[in-house]
Amino acid sequence: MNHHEARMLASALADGELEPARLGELDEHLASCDPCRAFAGALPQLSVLAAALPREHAPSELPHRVRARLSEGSPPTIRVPRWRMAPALAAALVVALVALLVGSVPIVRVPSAEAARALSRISSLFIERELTTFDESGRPDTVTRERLWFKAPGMIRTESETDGRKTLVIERPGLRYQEDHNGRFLNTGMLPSTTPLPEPLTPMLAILGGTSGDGPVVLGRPTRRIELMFGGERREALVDAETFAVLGVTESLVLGKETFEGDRVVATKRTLALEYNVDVADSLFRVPEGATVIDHGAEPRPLGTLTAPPAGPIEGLALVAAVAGSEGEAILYAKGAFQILVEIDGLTALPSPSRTQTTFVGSRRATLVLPLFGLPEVRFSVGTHRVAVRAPLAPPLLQELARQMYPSDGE
Amino acid sequence: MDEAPDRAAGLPEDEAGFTALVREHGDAIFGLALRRVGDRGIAEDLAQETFLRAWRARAKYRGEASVRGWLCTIAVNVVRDWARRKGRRPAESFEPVFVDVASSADDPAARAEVAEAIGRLRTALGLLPANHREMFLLRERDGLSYAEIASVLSCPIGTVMSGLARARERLLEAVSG
Repeated sequence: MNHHEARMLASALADGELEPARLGELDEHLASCDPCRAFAGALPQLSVLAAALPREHAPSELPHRVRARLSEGSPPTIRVPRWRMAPALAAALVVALVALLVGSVPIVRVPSAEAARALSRISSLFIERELTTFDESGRPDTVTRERLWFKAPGMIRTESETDGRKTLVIERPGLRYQEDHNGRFLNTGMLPSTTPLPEPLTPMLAILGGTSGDGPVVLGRPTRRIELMFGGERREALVDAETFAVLGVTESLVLGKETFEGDRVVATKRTLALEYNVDVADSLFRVPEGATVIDHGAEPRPLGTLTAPPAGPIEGLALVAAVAGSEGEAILYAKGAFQILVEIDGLTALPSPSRTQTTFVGSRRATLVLPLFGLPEVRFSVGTHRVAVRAPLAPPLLQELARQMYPSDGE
Repeated sequence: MDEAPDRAAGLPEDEAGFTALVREHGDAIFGLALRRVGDRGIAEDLAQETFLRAWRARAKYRGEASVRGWLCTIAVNVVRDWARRKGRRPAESFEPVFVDVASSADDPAARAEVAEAIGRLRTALGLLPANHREMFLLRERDGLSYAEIASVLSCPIGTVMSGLARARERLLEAVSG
């Protein structure tokens, strides 16, 4: 028996899958092979470590949506791939940022109109866009027409239609209504959106990539072309030149985007109409009645006094709002920071650049939400714990994180 | 691993019971789809379709496999059908995993050591061949048997045995630094 065979059997034994008849030959090998014995002995430890890896969480609405369709007998429908936004993986903006929160309980408010306004000079927006995906022969595959209205603070209405199928989404702080082929669902008691400003209007932090010169004039607005590379996939974004600046962005307006595989364009996003700082009627954000209500239990409530780090000492990171979660955790909305190291009671964790994942720091849960466009968010349990928030990553590590998010094919 | 699969348990016949089943296995099915399509919206649609197919086929479930293993096999077929319709190969993506410091360890040095080991495990997982990584996750996190993993990945059981051993070899090398 060679080492690999022995390790297959040892591995199967650990899984309870080994045929008893083969136990003897495994024992015989292990008795005379230190490396394989060490391998077999370490398997339980590996299982313990593997159990500590958090899993992907399905959207909380999944059971409701499935149930709504059980009795319908409706044909399955699969949406088109959503545009994958370029991640705001910053390259050079990363500096050692440290904020110390002494964990007394925070005052909690939903993101305020002031906070939202502080993030942008644009307080209302209407944009109409066309999103097209292309098949391998370069022919348009799916076309989605989208109209989006935004009004500070964080009210967003999105109407979209793909292949005759319509979707309506209305978002307000703590609330999200969706009407599509699955039915009508009203999510209440939600944590406020981490993107009170919608893409394409966004306070961008920095961009992993760089400008490749001027882009076309879109609807009368000159653009800069920003090129991004992820896992062999190239994207080019056309960004409003007037509000955009590489590093030190305060806001940007993305007016077009192309995604490539090699030299082949696989998706485009084209702005057809644009208006901002115009009157947008509140009635657009009124939620229709009669939807299935799913309550997530979070509510804004005063919890005490927030000993928050002043924005000043944190270069590139300014807190703009705090909110209470349903389990008493505090959620901080920060502007301008990037990949962040969370430290609680001397333990550290490095949340990934995923959009909504939870990290445990000791027994304390911390969630870092880094929307690809929008506000980084740090969520942590409150109490008497010292919480530090930093963004200490060097560009090579950011590249590694980008690689994980967008792995190359054929790995 | 989350929990032992409920082998030989029947499937609920009523909608409320089936919805509970969606709650129980939703994360595993969603995660499996997400690792293949790399888009949360599409993964949710595919998870929905998986459960709807399972609902329609519930009378055919005989308990030979665990419910989760049976659902995973359906999910892989759903993803395959989707990929065929879209004219694309399902991507093998990797959701980044996270440092989780074992809270039971009282000694800060020990906790740091565990955190470091998990960090190395996370990195090494990302470097595994996609099929080995999937075998490892289906076994360790979803608790599938070798036969179920073989069914999900459409490969012989021997390939699962060999792949798991190779995955563990590489992961242990990484974890032990």
